[in-house]
Order: sequence, then C-alpha cells, then structure tokens
Amino acid sequence: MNVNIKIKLFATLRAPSTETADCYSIPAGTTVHALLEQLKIPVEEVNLVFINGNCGNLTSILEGGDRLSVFPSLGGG
Amino acid sequence: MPYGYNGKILHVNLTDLNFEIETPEEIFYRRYIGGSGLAAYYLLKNIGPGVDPLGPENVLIFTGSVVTGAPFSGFSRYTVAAKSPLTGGFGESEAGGYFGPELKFSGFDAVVIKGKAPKPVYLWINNGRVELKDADAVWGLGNAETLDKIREDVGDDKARIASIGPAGERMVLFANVMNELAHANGRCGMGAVMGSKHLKAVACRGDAKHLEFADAEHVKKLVSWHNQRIKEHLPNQNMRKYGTPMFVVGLNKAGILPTRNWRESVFEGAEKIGVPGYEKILKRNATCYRCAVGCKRVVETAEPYHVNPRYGGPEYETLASFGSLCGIDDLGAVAKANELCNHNGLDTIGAGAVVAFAMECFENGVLTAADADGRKILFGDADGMLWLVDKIVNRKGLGDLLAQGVKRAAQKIGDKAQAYAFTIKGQEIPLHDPRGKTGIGLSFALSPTGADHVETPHDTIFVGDAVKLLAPLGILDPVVPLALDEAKVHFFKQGQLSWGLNNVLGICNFVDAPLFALSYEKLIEAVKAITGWETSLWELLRATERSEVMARIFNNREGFGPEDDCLFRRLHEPIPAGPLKGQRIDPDRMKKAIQLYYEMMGWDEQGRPLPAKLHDLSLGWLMETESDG
Repeated sequence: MNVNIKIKLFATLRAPSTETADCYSIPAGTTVHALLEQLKIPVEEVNLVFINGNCGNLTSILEGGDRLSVFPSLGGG
Repeated sequence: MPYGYNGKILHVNLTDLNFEIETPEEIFYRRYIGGSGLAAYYLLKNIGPGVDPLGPENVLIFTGSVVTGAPFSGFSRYTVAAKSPLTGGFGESEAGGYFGPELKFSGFDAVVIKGKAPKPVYLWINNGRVELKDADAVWGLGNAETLDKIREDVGDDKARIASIGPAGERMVLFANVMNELAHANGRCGMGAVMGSKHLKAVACRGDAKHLEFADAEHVKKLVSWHNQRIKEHLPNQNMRKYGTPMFVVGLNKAGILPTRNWRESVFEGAEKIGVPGYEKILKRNATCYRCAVGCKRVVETAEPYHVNPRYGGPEYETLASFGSLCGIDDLGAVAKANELCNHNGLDTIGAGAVVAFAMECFENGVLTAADADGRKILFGDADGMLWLVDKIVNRKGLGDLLAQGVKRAAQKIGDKAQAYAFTIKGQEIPLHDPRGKTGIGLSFALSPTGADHVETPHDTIFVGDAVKLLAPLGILDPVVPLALDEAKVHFFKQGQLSWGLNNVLGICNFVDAPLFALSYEKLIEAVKAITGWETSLWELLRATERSEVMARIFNNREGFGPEDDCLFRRLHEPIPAGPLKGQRIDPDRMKKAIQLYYEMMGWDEQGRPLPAKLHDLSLGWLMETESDG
C-alpha cells in the first residue's frame, strides 16, 4: 500500500524534481533513510530531519500525510 | 557550602612568585558564573586602559564555570582570557579537552595571573597545593615534550597540562595555549601573553570527589538521559561519524567555502580535504572529558607529510585555513600544518590566514622571491606553506614579519599589501563567508574579540521548520540566510545570548541546545541539580548579556568604537562564481543593522551601554570604570 507525504528539501539538498513535492507517494512503512536513498540524496550530507514540525531521525517511519523537511549540515565550529 | 564549584579563586603574582586565595560569596558566582563572564570581571577589575598586552601589567585568566567538570558530555570547556596582543582589546578563547575539569578538581574555580616571572616557570596545582616550578628544562620545547617532562617532574602521569610551545615563548601574536596536545585555546594570542609572562605551563591534578552536587542522583539521571540522546540524535550521530571535517563539502556546495584568501568561495579540492578525503587518513576518533560525542579526530598520514598522531587531526577551521584558503588540496600537507601548529603552539586560523595573505602578496608581486630565501610561494604550494609556518614559529626572515599577524605585517610591507590583508579588530578571520549567512557577518563585526564564528547560530541551519529549535529564545520566524533586515538583527541578538551562554558555562557547542542533544529545559535542570540554584533560562541568558556588556565596556575603554564594528573589503564585493555568484553585503545596510543592534541592546549610537542598561544588569560598578576611560 502506498501513502502520500509532503517533502521539503533545503539548501544544497534541493533536487529539481523534489524541491517541494506536495504529494509524493511512498510505500507505507518507509523510513526517512530509505526515502533519501530513493531520492538519491547523499545521506551523509543530511544533518537534521523534521517530521510534522518535530525533530526526527533517519530511522523514523513515515506515515501518510506526513510533512518531511530535510536539512544539510551547513554549520561550523 | 557551594555545590558544583570550589568557592576559591587563585591569584598568582609571577613577579614576586607568590599567591593568594580569594573566597568570593555565592552571589558573585551566581552573577558571573564562569568562563567569559568571570574572565571579563577580573580583566575589568585588574587592568586599566592602555596597558601593554605583552607587559607584566596584563592579567591572564584560566577559568571554568560553576558546572565545569560535572560528568555531562561537553561540560569540559574552559576559558583563557587576557587583553589581546593581536587586537589590543578583550581577549578570550575557549578549549575543550581535559584541563578545565582538572583545574576544578585541583581545588580552584579560576586562576588569575599577574606580573612576569624573572625566569621561565610553570604553575603546579595539586589538590589545593600551589607551587611555581622552574621551567628551564622545558622552555624551548614543543608541547608533547613539555607535557611528558612536566608529568615526569611532578611525578604524576595523570597531571593535566595547558602549555605554550616555542611560538608562545617567542610571542608570535597568534600563539595559542594547548591542552593535552589536541585542544587549543586558539584565538586572540593568549599563548603570546603567557610567553610574555615567562609562564610555560599550568599543570594541575585533583580529586573530583571533593566536589559535591546539590542533587547527585538527578545529575546521574540527566547525564544518562543526555548520553542516550547523543546516541540517537542525528546531528550528534553525524558529529561522531564525520566530525567537523563534514562542514568542508557542505559549505563548498553552498558556495561559501573561503578560498584563496577570500578571492573565491568555491574550492575545486574540497572533497580531497573534507569528507570523503578525510576518511583515508582517519585513524580513530578522540574525545574530551566524559564526552559521549567523540567528534575529535586522530589522523595518520604517509610520507612526505608523516604526522605524530598525539597531536590529533585537523578540524574544519584548520582544513579550510591551510586548505582552501591557501588553495591547497593535499590533505597530508594540511595535517602536517596542523601538527606543526599544535606542536609549536600556533592558532591554526591565524596561521593559515597569514600564509594565505602572503601567498596573495606573492601572486601580485607585493612580496617577491627576494623576501623568502628565493622562494615565491603561490596559492597551492604545500611545501611553501609548511616552510612559512616553520619560519613564523622561529621568527626568521619573512616569518618574523608574519608572526605579527596579517594587520601588522601588511602595515610593514606597505600600501600595496593592504589590498590583501583581511582582519577585523586585528583578528584573522574564521573560515565562514558571511555573504551566505549574514548573521555570521553581524557576529564577525560585533564580537569583542574580533571576527568570531562560535558566538552565534549559523543562519543556514535554522531555515524552515528548523527555526522551531530556536523558539525558547523567542525566535519564531524562519531565518532567511541572505537577508540583513530587522528580523536578522533580532535573530542575531537572541542567538548570541544562547551561544554566549556556552562560553559562560563552559559547555561545548556540539552537545546542547538548540541543535544538539541537551535541550534548554534539560540544560537548566542540569545547572539546578549541580548548583542547587533555583535558576532559569532567563537568569542564565541575563548573565550572558552581562558578560557581553562587560567585554564591550573593556573594548570601549581601550578606545574601540563603531568604526571598529565592521567587516572587510572582500565581503562587500560580489562572490565571483558558484551557487551564490553576485552575492555581497552592502556596507550601508550592515551599518544600519549594527545601529539597530546597539539600540536593541540598550547601547547608545556609539555602541556604549547606557547607564540604565548597566543598572539593569547589576553592573552599576562599571559606571565609574567607564568614565575613567
């Protein structure tokens, strides 16, 4: 079964087709990590994920209607 | 009795070789807390305006905070402070490692050092006993040999030591203080101040058991919660897996990796010096006292650039300063430069910046082969870079000129060199391009220590939903990295309080809120459980503002004004190529933003905190000090 989610990629992670996908179809039970691989986003460049406005992880499981934001590591120190 | 701290400050007079112990009241600790706050207090109280930073009148401070040494990941940072010989203003630099907690265990919350020893000495603090010991045998040695010999001399192989190398002894103006060979109080030339005092090292040892926490059980619970979250929280997982080298490729992709002395912002060799290239030389992770993150790196390189692994491995700032800023993509050479700096006690940001400045001078004929024993050292010349670092340490020829930092070297070379000389308040620039994150531009311009990259959030992290992390600071609207408007000034002012709190409490930026594992709520719980104070984020951020205002007043007293709160020429010019091509910072807009910041802070148009602000922060005693200046 597939479910639909919203995806927003930030800064250097943007890809033309998925920069903002308001209705992206994924198999139910997909993890953030699996989705990022599917989108060919280098996982090692992802530093922060938010799901529905809350801090998530690569292992978080996505559900229908979720809003996923993905941020790269652009800090310093 | 105090919980979490000793209630004792050690004052050492090196001229007379004596010392005394001060026992301040609890209210003093609650007001100044530690780190930059406590350091600013003692600098203002002990130094009048105009003293020579390398003279015996300067005061050198080593200080943790009321929570330093508590067994939390990242509660290990400590501050070294003095009037800076590089900027002539407030000098402060933090380092992690092991020295900060050990100083606390040795029986003192801070050491305040005045005068100049008649001959080289080191300070040995052992469970409350204080001794000034002869340093003849270690004067002239690098940091590893110094560490080994002092441990042998005191007969304790677990003594923790903060020391200077030959660069500090020779008063290279960007000399640092190293602890445990891989942790640096890098900025502001604190190593030169130590050298000027004939103080080779501070060694300490103590028993942690004498420190009691107000609620030891709760401390234990919170530590365990924090360390578990560090394992599960993605930014901390990344910090462990890749360390700060991960920033190289990310910032390069974003088009803001300072390259060839700020001439460019994209470096073709980024992947070689950052992750993934770094994985090839990574030997193992290392860490600081009780820290579960483990972001530090130990590297191993092959000939011709074999490095001693005891000196760790280059961090992001070092990779960019000796790498992209010098146009060098040979990671072995960059690792070697890092080792040379850690061995000899040089700030890697300052050293890389001064080499990159010299390279651009060579490129443009402002320096010639006649200035460098027949060498013409251009961008990309790894051997030339290492040769220059060696000359700087030994203060030979061109190295002696560069040992004075970019600003003074350019003044001495002449007008043509000014076009390639980039500093703020005389401080070389950290490796972050404010044209892609204007909040960092405000931080560069307004930091009391000259350009600083760890006093404020980096705009690029807190875009979109990620701004929710900043909500406890009252920042609710998503940050726009390229905007320089009223919202950005507010973001900077509030963010600066949070980052500044880490400098006051002595906490690493990679363990706590807003981005990392320890939330603001848990951080406050931790301070309460350690000290027993019924405190709040509000009270602690006020203490942070107090420390910022004290540093500002120190600089105002030294003659700094709004004209010193500025960026440097290249940031006002468009980025020549890459994803942010054409991006620049408008100088007038920057000036307006700075004026707005003064107003938000309760400072006048000259950037002087108003009397009402001083009273508001219980700093009325500074009214007199300020009018003296």
